[in-house]
Formats: sequence, C-alpha cells, structure tokens
Amino acid sequence: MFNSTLFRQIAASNHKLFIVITAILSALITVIMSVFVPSTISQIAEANKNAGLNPLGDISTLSDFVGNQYFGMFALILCIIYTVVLGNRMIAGQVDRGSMAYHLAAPISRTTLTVTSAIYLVSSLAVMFAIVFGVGCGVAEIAQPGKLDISTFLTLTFGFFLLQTALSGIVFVASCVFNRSSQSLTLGAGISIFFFVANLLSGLSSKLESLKHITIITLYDSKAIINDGSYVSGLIILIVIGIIFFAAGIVTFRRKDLPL
Amino acid sequence: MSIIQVEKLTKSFTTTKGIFNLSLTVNQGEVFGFIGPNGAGKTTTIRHLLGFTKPQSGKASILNLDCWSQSQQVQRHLGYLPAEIAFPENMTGMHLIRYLSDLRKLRNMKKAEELIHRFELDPSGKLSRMSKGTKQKVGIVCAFMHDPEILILDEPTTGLDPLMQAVFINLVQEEKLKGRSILMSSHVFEEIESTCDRIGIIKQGRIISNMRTEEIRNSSKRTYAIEFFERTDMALFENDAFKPKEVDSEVGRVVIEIEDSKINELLRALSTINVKSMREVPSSLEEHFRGYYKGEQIDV
Repeated sequence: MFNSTLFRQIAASNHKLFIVITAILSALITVIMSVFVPSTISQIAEANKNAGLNPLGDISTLSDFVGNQYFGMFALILCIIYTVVLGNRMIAGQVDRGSMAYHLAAPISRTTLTVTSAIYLVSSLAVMFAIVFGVGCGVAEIAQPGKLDISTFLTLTFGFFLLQTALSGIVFVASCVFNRSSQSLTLGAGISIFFFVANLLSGLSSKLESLKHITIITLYDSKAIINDGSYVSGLIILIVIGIIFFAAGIVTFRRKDLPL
Repeated sequence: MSIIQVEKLTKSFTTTKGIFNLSLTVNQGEVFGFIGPNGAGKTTTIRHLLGFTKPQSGKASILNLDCWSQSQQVQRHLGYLPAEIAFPENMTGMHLIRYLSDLRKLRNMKKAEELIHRFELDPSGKLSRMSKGTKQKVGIVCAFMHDPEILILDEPTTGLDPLMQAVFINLVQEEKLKGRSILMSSHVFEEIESTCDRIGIIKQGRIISNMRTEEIRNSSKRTYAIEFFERTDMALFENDAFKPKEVDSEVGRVVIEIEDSKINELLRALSTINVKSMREVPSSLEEHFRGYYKGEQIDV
C-alpha cells in the first residue's frame, strides 16, 4: 500500500514546485502579519466605511483579513495551481509520457502507486500549511505581539488544509481516470477554477448568492470560524469529499487499461 | 516447460486494429522473436504480458501466474525494455538505476555496473539530455540488472550503433545460455536471426507464422552463384532442370536455386565442365520475412 522508496522519489522530483509555492505563501503571510497591525486595519476600515462594495471584504480584525484575503484568495489560487500541477504530474502525466511503465515494472502495484502518490499530495499540503502557520505566528509575534488570535488562525489554517485536500481529491481522480495529461488537466483545473469563480461570484451580489451551493469552497466558512459560528459540519463534509475522491481515483486506476 | 503462455488473447480497438485470438508460448530457455509490421499488435501483446492491459477474452500468463490479476508477482521475475523509452522526470541515469535497484531490493549493483561498463555507458547525465542511443543503454541496464528469469524486450536495439547492437546480441546469447526465457520484438532481421530459436510473425493482430529458426532456414532452398570460363558451358544450365534465377552472359555467371536433394545432380553436371568459381549465396531470413510483411504469402 505504501512504498517509502517511491515516496522519496516523488518528493525528489516535485520538491521545486513545493518550495516555490511554500515560499510564496510564506512571503504573503509575512506581509499580512507585519503590515496589518491594528492601526492600519482601523484606517482601512475608516476609509471604506461609506463605500458600497468593499473590495477587501470584511476586514475589521486581523483574523478577518487572514480569513478573507489570504485563505479566501491568495492561498486559494496558489494552492489550486499547486494541486492541479502536482496531481496531474503524478499519475496522468506519467501515463501520458510513458514513464509510469518504469514504476509499475519495478514492480510497484498500481494500488501502492496511487496510495503513495495520494499520501504525498496530502502530506505535502500538510507540511506546507504547518510552515505557513509557523511563519504566520512567528511574524505576528514579532510585528504585533499578542494581537493575533492564534487558535482562530490555527483553525483557519487547518480548515483550509481540509479544503485543499478535498480539491486535490478532485484533481487526483481526474488524473487517475484519464491517460492524457491534457484531459486530466482540463477536468482537474476546470472544476477547481469553476469552484473558485462560483465562490467569488456568490460573495459579490445577493442575486448570485445561490452559487454558493454549487461550490465546495463555501464549505470552508472562514466567517463562521472567526465568529465562533458553526463550521465543523462543513469541514467534515470536506473530509468526506476528499476520502471519496481519493478512493475513487485509487479504485479506477487499479482497474483500467494503461497505454504503456 | 512453457514460461510465457498467451492463449486466444483478444483485444480489439476497432474491427481491424488490435489483437485477435492470439496464442503463443515461450518455453524455458527459449528466445522468441516477435516480428511484424508497425501496428500489427506486438506492443499490444506485450502490454498484456506486463499487466498494463486487461484482456477482452483469452488469457496471458507467465510462470502460471495471470498477467492481469497477478501482475506484481509476475513483474518480480521480469525484465522489461519498453519500445519507446520514457523515463521519470528530473533524474540522472544513475539515480534511475539506483532507484530501481532499491525498489527491487537488490543486494548489490554488480550486474548493473558490469552492464554499464559493457555498453560503455556514462549514466551520470540527466536522462532528459541523453541521446536516443544513451537512453536505450540505460533502458537495457534497467531491464537486465536484476538478472531476471524472463526478459521482454520491445525493439531493444533502436538507436544503438552497430557495435553496440553486436554487444547487445552477445548479451542476449549469454542470457539464453543461462536458461533465461526471452521474448523480443524487432524489425532488425539480423538481430532476430542470430538470437532467436523461434520466430513468430504477427500481422493485423494475428500470428501468421510461428516456426523454429532452423526450419525457416532449412525450408528455403539453397542458392549458388557459379561462374564459368567458357560461355558455352553456361548453356548447360540455361535449358535444363536447374532453371537458373539469373543468367549473366557478360560475366559468365548463373545463379541457381535448388533443393538440397538435387545437389548431387548439380555437382555431376558441373564435374563435366570447367568451373571458375562456385559459392553459396547466404540465404537470409530476410526474404522469408519480407514476403509476410508485404502480405504476399498469406491473406489475413
């Protein structure tokens, strides 16, 4: 089911992508934690008081800003890029290139291959957000000691990790179903982007609010997390979605014909 | 004992594309040459043997293990060289060789090192930067380094220079002496002729000929080129039973194809005249194969 040699090989061949995305995410959280000190936030809130539509969303506290802007926008886009590229590269990309033959002939069973790949995908996201959380807390501690609500930040980060796991499950299943990189990318990226856009539009006007029911991103309710609302059920659904999609990918890949 | 067994295997992509009711066996210690035009179904058959593709009907088994449901056990005994080599990304040749030897839990790299030396390979470079021939050498090392009982080689000498092709043929002959069973597809007749015990020809998804190499060699008549001092002596061969294939009256040479059973008759006829030279035109399997490729000998 799990092969450590294969895991190390996957990590070695994808470390650059991981480092780049993690570095950008860390840099962004550093900027946010150091720039949005209480005085800046109150200034922005003051300036936006009479604006009809606030382009930054509700940002009356640091947690709001982190929830809305960081996890609602920057990190979301970057992580979608990360999972789409990585998810596709791990399975469909290798089948398309033909290099999958080397792993399977090695011999690694198909199930071991997909399970190990899925574990890498999820654990790399976990490590990525552990780093983001650590950097965020560290910078906040230096720039504005005591102003960051660490437990809220932890829940926001952890919930976001679950959201990314669910999204990566979709990319993963697309990668396991298709033998062509182009098809896997179209479906994996297509659905992820669709969810992202639907989430964005649902927040823009009350007419489009119903769109929030067709995107899984709204299951990660950062407002509820910040305001101690009910967010747990949404996160549980995300876990279930993730498990279903990863399992579907693993089962599909075990049964299909490979053009190798 | 049959090592590789394909029984009535069918996998159709369209009505003419695919493989249909295909059967073949490779016995212990046998080298089976698998030849046929592009798109005839060689690689499709090999995909079944490696467990990459599920049969529509029929069965492929290796060492009595089912190639589809027990592919991982099968793979342990197998060395595989794919036709179009595509290596994992971002690796050097040595990384790949180490990685595969780790996966196979090899105790040492002795055989790998020996092969690297033998093929004069420098595996330190990035795989993506390697030339076709160098990649092929890396592929050969990966297929042979764990000393597998069974080898499946899909067009193994593509991209190798003639010297390296000869090194490869030697390697296959050595493995054969060790009792390894080998299935090898190729378009290079020489390579097939000098290594294979049995040759199967596949066309449009069907095996249309499956013969021992010796049978093919013996079944063809022998061809001799005979030169004469006197043109008049040539007349002897122009009209009677020998039916020359070629008559070159400028040089004074005839080319005769005869059955072995008639060789004494020929010698007696030749003994009465003044012969300048006589040599056998080496019969190549090529002619035999070429017929099948063109579809002259059989309609499918």
